[in-house]
Amino acid sequence: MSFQRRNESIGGASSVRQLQGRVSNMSLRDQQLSSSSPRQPIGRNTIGAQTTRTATKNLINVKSEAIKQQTNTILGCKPSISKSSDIQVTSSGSQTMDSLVFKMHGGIPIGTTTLIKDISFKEIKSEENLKYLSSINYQNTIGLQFLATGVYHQRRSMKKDIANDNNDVEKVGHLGIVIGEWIDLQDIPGVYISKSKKSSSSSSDKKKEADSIVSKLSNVEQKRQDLKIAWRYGMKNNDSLKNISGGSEIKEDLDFVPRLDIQSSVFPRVTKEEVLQINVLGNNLENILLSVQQTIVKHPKKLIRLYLPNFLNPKYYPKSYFLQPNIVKFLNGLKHLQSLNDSRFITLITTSIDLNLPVLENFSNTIIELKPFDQQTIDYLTKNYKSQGLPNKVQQGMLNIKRMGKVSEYGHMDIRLNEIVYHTSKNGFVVELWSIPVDAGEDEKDKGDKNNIKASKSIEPHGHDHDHDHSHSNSSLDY
Amino acid sequence: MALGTHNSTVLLKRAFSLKETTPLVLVLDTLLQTATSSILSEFKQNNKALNVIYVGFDNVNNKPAYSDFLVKGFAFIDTKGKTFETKYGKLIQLVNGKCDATKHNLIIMDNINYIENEFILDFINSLSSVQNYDLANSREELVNNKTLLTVYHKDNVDYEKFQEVSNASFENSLFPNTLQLLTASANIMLDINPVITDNKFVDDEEDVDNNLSKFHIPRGFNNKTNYQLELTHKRKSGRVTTFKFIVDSEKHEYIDDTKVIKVENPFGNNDISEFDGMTTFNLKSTDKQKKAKENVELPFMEAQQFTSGGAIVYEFEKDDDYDEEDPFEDPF
Amino acid sequence: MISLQQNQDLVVFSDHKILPHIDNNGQSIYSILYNNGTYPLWLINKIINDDSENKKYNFTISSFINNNKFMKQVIKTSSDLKVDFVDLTLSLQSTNLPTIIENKFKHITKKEGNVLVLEQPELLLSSMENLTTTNLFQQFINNLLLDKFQHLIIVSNIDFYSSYINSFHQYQYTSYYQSLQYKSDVLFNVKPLRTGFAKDISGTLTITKGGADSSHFAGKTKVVENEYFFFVNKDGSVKLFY
Repeated sequence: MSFQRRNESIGGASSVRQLQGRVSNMSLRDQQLSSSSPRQPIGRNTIGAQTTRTATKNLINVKSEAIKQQTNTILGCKPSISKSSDIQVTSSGSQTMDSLVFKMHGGIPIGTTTLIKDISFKEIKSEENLKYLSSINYQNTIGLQFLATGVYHQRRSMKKDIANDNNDVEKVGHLGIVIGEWIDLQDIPGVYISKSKKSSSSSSDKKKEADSIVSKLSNVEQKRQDLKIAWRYGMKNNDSLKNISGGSEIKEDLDFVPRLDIQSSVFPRVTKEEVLQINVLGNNLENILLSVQQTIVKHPKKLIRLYLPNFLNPKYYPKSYFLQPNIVKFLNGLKHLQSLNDSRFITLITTSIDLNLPVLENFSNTIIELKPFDQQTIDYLTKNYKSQGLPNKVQQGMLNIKRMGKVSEYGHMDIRLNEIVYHTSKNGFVVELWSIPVDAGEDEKDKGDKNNIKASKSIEPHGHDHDHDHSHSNSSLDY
Repeated sequence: MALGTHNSTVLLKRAFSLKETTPLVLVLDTLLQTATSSILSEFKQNNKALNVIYVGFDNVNNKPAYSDFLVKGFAFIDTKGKTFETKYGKLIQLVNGKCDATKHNLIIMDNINYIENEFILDFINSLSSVQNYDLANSREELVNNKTLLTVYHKDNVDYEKFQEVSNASFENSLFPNTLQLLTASANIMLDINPVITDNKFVDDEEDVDNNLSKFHIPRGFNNKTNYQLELTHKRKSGRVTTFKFIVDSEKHEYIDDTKVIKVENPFGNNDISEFDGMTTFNLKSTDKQKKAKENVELPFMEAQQFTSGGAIVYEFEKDDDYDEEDPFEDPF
Repeated sequence: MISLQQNQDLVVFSDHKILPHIDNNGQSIYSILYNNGTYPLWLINKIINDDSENKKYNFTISSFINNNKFMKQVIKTSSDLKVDFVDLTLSLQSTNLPTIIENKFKHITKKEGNVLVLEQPELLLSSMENLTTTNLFQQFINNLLLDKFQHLIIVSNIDFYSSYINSFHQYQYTSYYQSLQYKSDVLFNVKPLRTGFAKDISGTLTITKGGADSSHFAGKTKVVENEYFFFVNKDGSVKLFY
């Protein structure tokens, strides 16, 4: 890699500095621009003090600046529902992901990297199971939703009427970057359009959409209520939480996560200004990083959604990509960029094989593990859900959280194992709390229990316990 | 000469005091029972007259209480050196400079894993060699007062081939690995292990392995003063004796833990303890019987009484297989 | 349940000290090992803040994974402590090990009383081509101890460890952790619960004596081996209990 050679010829010491200069130069410029120009903060105008953490400023400075700078808002952002109010979140593209997987925040915290890793390949034993176990598609589904959300907010920012409630506020959109030519941008799903929409007037239509979202929201609220039992941090902040979610919050939430129809594709077609595609073939990690960096500088205000699908999958990545030093330097550079732009940069990495992942995990803020069910469990679930007339409800696997951005790095423990299951439906990638369906054909409870035990055996210990707040006393005893 | 007449603990003390000519001592340790915090203090303890030079790689600045000199080994290595001389010359010179001609010198190399496999033999030779080449007078001088002790961490023996960058050539070569080189050249081997049965924090060996596979170090290992020691003593005659002890490193007590004395010989395994309770015959011999047996002068014993020369020198050849296990061993 | 548990003090040595004893030439190494979900920020804060004589030390915080911006935000110390931050994240782009010390620690001229919290030096094993654990220690960590710092607190992610080795890199990582155990005076192992999230327990902290020779400890001080449960409160404070 040219990285190396250049550094060697210059000599180690200067090369570090040089690179540091190179990396920070551009971004520093960018940073200066943002902190001196009154356009940076992404906080909503309703909450003035919501600013991003600018590198070395002390809090008071930031606050006073923020009040001056209330002229720009990145769409599709809101403050995290947890912890200190200076964490901003944006949607992952899946409403259930936002509320369950990222339940500490209510969305992906901005300025973090999320790694979704699929460990299915390890468990493939026979050919016939392959199609059930491989979840590459799910990963790409969530990735495409991730990009679609960006496109959605970008298009909103271009619409005039959106800004008419406050003319001083400049609405800023998102920019997607996808690294990998195998992703067809035309696969990015469009926003769900109800059949009646075409004929009905726009106002009633809008109301309808709002209704559906409100009902969705109440759903979320319901879930939140449930979660509060487990979510100890929420208890204390309950009041402030209610304040935030009162009034203006709901209006903002309306558009936080678009309702996507993954069978459709976005119309009109996605343009380069909305999603930038960077090729992997004929490229290298250093150049990819530089391209990302240049893009960020070129768009000094937008929220950058970087998506690295199937990262380091040998099917797409040539052998030259696999040198460990280069990978570390890439991830290190990415993390650096993220830190410099931590108010408007999120990264999603999906990886589909269990290669040497520790480095990748080490540089990710959030680590999500997809663990497909074995065939026995899927058959069992299919049978039971079919009998209930819910054939689409069959879950495809467990979703485990190994690390949570803006939570784990502060030393809080938020490992979630065998609590959440996932599947894809026409609404996209959906997660829910894990529960065993009522056993088909068995009315008597004890028989059902027997089957539960059988099923849970094939899943995981504790997997059968559908209450998410389960077994904590057990777990302590367990240890 | 006969074996049983030696009390095993006396032999151990003799080994620690380095009274016999011992060019190379090999100490094998593990994560759970490190040599630095246990056995290395026994040498000075048993022979106060020793001049102990501690060459620290694992330890940078702390001069252990059982040593007279600390040499910061890593600081005197020229990492760019390509040959043994350019890389380690300075260190060897420095260590040799600390040697006291009037005393017996013990050079502790903690640990030998820091020396590349290809340089191990050079390293041993330059620090323990009985024959020193005196440059000034250009003649060979017999120096008999040096013992090199190498600490070897045996945690990763199976994977030694991955240790160095240039392992590709090693994989096709039959050149022995570092442990093999050391065991072949050492006169005394001290293999130390933790006493697992005494540890209330772990159930059994399997539990320990389980924990270690996730790198969870259980409590009660390096903090304990008791450990198990297996002494392997190789005589000039080629005869190898092995004893087991439980050592208390605080009180410096040695308790013989050898159930049955093993005498390795090419004709099979003499350990008959495994027949315990399986036969109605008495296969064992009492100590008295053993003693009597050993005192019988067999005609070939005379040949083993070496005075000078004639030692069996075993040279390792490329087709030799250094298998520790006896392929003809009884399947029990 | 929480209120019933008595909060325990962190004790490392038999004389109730947490930081190692200062003597003029000695060194000490602490290793803090953690898994992905249990970043031991609280423990670093506790070691720095809870020792009764911590004002005698000069602390330097350096990390290969988290930059100064983050570390300054999360390492909370009282104002009368001497704490310095040296950002090493971009040193992962370097190809020359000795220059990292030359460039980043130039300002440190004597080592007495200096404590370095060094986070994830093992990443260098990945970022530098053909770097071996041996060289990482010889050319970097040992040199830091030679004339810059007396005490080293190494914070490492144990997820790189594998008990089955089949590559050069795996060997280097595994032997890195093993070397830490051999060299350390005290080993702190911060583990999550096997079952994942729990309401009242974040994980366990195990303190064990490392493999290093302890004959230099003044006054026969001993490491107190212990296993605590810990729980990280929302404000980042921590409760230790049995």
